[in-house]
Amino acid sequence: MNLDSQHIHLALRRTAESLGPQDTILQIVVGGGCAGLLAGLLAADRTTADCDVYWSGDAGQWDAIAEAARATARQLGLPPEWLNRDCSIFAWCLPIGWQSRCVRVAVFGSVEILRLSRLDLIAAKVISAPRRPQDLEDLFAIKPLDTELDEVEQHIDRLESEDLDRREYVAERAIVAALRGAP
Amino acid sequence: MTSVESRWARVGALFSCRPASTTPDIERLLIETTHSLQSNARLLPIAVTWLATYGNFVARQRLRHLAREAAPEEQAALGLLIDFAIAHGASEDLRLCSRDCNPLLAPGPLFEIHRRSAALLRLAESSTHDIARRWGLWTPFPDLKHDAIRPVEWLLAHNPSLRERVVRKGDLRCSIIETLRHDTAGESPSETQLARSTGATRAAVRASLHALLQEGAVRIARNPGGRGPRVITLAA
Repeated sequence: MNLDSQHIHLALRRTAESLGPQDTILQIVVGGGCAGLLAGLLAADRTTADCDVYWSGDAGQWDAIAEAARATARQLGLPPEWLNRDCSIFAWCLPIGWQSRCVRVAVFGSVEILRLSRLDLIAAKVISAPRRPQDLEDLFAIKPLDTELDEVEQHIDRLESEDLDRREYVAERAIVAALRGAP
Repeated sequence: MTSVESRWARVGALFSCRPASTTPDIERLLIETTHSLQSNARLLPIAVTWLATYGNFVARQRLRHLAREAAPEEQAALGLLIDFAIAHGASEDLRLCSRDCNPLLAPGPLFEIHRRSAALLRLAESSTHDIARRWGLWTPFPDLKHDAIRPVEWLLAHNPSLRERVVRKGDLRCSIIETLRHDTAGESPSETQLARSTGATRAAVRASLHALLQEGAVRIARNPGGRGPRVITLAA
């Protein structure tokens, strides 16, 4: 079974079923290539469908979700860590207000699945693209609008101004310029 | 023709596309990947992770032989793939596969995307890892993607023919079997020809054939009188 968007839904639904009812609705935000796939922005043969999740909730709740995801992995032959929150440590790279722009994908039982918005996905990929050429390819595939790139540049300005090491975001700016068509 | 990504999906990569309908020829897949990754950068971390995880499935001598016939860009990219995988924990045995590969004389970006602008070209060069630079290719060091490679149980359940590869740990026996299977229609007219087809020495091929004969994996037909070349065929 491959993990196109239909099967991602299946894997997430199985995980929610395995998790069972919870006291509150648990929100997980899907980022990375999986978000691009779910949004129809990236082609299936250029995306791996592991689910990188931004998780800001309770660690114990995450442990329960991760255990349920591993049970799903055993059922469907997926990698044990197909659902992971490794990207959460990069949430600071996202533009301010990203949580309010998330797009609902589905609700399965006590789990609400959201994905990054198009703008936030673009911004995240601009930041990661200098060390991940696949994200650079994704950006050219998404074809950001000039207005979106304006917002990404403002986001870069903010990151640069807040950087404790006074790092200059030269590479990220070069990527935005290339996306605008600069030679 | 099934895409490279579909063939990777068949052997456990979590590409979202439909997996190939049959088990791919692993060594040719690796050679073709060195070409395809130029326009699909995601193939690099996937192939490196797969090699770091499943390197024992690769028929090393056969890959080495196929690499000798590959284009210079493909040779350099294969060398880079192997070295990245070893740096990530793959067996040093894999280095045999790229022993005859040469680095590019005129260094440049591994991925076409970096040719889109002069600034991206500079970015590619400045972010290049030392391993890549040694092969004349510009690319950062890829992170492993274990979360995008299926477990071995899935791999073997969907590709039972791969089991004998890993049992033989990719050694010369494995290369002989895969050469017979994929390159010579199941038969080789002689040990000499088989040595030529695998790129191994005749003595090494003879020793491996002896083992394969005892395993029941090949048949060796002797000529009447015991003279002349011996025809080697894959056992059913």
